[in-house]
Amino acid sequence: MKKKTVEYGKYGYIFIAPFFIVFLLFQLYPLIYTFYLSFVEYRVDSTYEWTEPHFYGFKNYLQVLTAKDFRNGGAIVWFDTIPMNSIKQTVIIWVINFIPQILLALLLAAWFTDTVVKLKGQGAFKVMMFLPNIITASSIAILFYNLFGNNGPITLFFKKLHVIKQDYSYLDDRFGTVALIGFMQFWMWYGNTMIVLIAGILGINPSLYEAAMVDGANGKQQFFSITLPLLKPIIQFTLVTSAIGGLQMYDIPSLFNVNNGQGLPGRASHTVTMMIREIAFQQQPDYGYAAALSVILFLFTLVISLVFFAATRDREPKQKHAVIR
Amino acid sequence: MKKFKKAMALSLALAMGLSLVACGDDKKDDKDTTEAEKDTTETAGDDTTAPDDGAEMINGEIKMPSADGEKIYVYSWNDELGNRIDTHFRSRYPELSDLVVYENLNVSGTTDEYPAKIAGAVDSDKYPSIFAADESLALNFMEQNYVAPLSEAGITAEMYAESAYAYTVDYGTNDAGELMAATWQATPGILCYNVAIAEEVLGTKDEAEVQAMLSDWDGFFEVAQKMKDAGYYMVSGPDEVKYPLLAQKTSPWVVDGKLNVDNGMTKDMLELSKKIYDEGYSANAAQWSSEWTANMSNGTVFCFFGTTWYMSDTVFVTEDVLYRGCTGPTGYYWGGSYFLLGKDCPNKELAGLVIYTLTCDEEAMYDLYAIDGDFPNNSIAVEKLIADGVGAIEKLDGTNPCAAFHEGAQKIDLSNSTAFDSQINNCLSTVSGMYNTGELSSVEDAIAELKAQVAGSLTAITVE
Repeated sequence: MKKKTVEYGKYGYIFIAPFFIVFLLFQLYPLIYTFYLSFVEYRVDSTYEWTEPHFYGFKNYLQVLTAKDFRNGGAIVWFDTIPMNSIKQTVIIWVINFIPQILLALLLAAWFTDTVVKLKGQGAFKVMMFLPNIITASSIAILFYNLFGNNGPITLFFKKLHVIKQDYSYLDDRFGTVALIGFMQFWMWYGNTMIVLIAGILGINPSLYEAAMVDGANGKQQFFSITLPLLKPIIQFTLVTSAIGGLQMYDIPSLFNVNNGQGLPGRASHTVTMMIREIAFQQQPDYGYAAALSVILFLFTLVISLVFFAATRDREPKQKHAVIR
Repeated sequence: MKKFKKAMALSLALAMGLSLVACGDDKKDDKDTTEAEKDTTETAGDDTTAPDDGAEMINGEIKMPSADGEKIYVYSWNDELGNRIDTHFRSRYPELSDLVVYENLNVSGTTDEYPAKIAGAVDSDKYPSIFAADESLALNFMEQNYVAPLSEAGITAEMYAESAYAYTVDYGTNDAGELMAATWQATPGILCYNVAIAEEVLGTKDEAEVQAMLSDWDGFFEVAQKMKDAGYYMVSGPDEVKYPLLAQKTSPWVVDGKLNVDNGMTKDMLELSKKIYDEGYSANAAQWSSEWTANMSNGTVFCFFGTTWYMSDTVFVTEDVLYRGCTGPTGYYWGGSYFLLGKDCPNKELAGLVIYTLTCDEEAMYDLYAIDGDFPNNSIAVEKLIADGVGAIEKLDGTNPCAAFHEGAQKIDLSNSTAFDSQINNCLSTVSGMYNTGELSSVEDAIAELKAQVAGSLTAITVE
């Protein structure tokens, strides 16, 4: 008896093909090309000639990692270079953004999923907290630039209340600008993190909480002993995606307090992606240098992500006592 | 329901597929319009009875192109050049008007968006036969391999230099001595001072007397102290003195491929800027910020360092506040837009005529100021304007700045410009800000920081 079965399997390949084509063209190929570019010399030199791309060894990386210290007569220093300073500033902005963000998001997620305290109007609160994420970053940057400018309403208000000095200028103070950018990022993204954490907490078996309540655990003990350990995968996800997104931050710093693309004051708000753009898209570009900085950013992000993975991995409980048969 | 689901799935897949090919749409539309325009041009060419004599000359200087030649595209980043072409070229040569098509790219003229788009247009159907370039980008454009010397379009250096201000000829000439760029506007600087504050604090509003007080930097700071004592700001921000000082360079920023900071103005700019910041002579508003614009009409700032194109409504917003102009402590220039010629231009005679009309033709350039208020790059036309008494500007309290501009334009010296200037100037602004706020404690530190910043961002030159 012949079995007439129709083979549908091959159509699956056609449906997943578009994703792979787009991935190959727009993600994998540029990635490999960037690695290639970081090892060649491909720039405009002082006579306006484009150099033919030719192998350049690690000189592009040295350009990123070393610089001449002109205050000491041109001695070579490691790591105190303009590109490395931009990485440092990016990390500072990211830390100011991220730590309050995850703490507040955890707190709000705990409150919104509490089985005892049933908050009214949760939907409305969640919408209001997620709303900043929907406003475009450019609008927020320009809005804050006008609010906190030298004659901006909030600056004048703070000066009136004597919270800040009378001649203080947010836009001229390194920490002021960096803190404001960190705050803008925090305000944009805490709603998103909160929603993700709520989803994670809702995935925990409620019978665990009931058992704990029967045993007499209060809210705080429940949170630290049940919720947090079981949330580890979600927290891992949040940490890594925040690190990746935060280190590549571009939209807000490039629109808030800049002068012709250079973050002010004194490159305090000049992030790594802004630096890469400055090098690769100025009138005399240097693609090798920009590619080397991109690769270093990639390695840096990789290291940080591995650290986060290691810190939040599931550990096998140690055997405290010998097993007695 | 099954059919509906099938239809939904198919339309979603199509939408996804369309998004991949959607980028080609612009060119397709252009192809259609190009076909349509070509048809109208050919019929127009058939109907006109323009003299077929190819040797007809305009003003005895440039050949009149034939009325059925090829179309050319003129590119710029906003509609200003388009308006100039409409007012001065199309009205004079209506039979050639259809052959000149203006493309407004609608981007910023001073960032890297514009050169990227021009480079893209070079490979497209609409070759940029002529394109405008802002002064800060013009030198870079002159080095590209898709531009040709203007002599190929019939504009010779002698013809241009006859009437153009010397600095524009120097700027547009490359190292090989070829004239690559010409401009229709001269942009000498002018110091606009607030008439009411001048009367109150200095006791006079007459330009000559105010100029006597502001004739050098010492005088400038004396007046600044008077302003501070009277409760006004001298300037809007410490970076206001940037352009006057940048024009005072005695040697270029880059010499033999190396950064040159001993160019006679770096130290001055850092020190003067810091003096203005420390002594509180300014309202600390960066140029082009909304506070800077607000300061123009709120009567708290005494003077602004402006230029010829400040007089347009979009830049110098002076509601209810009157200003007058004088030359100020130094002569300087700021900006200007230059014409460049594309190498593969299909109708070089026509391109030459467009450029000629706006850069060498005295009558057209007289009208540039008389009609558009654009200070023309033609000293003969300007002398005529002064003699005819044309050119009073309402914003300047009815005074006529032509003579001041004319004098200023003749003094400008651009021989020390390089194509690396814009990036180095940006680094200098950043370092000046750091020095002002005290982050860098001395001028030597500031100069070392400037070297570090240029070395870190511009690898085309070496820094020592």
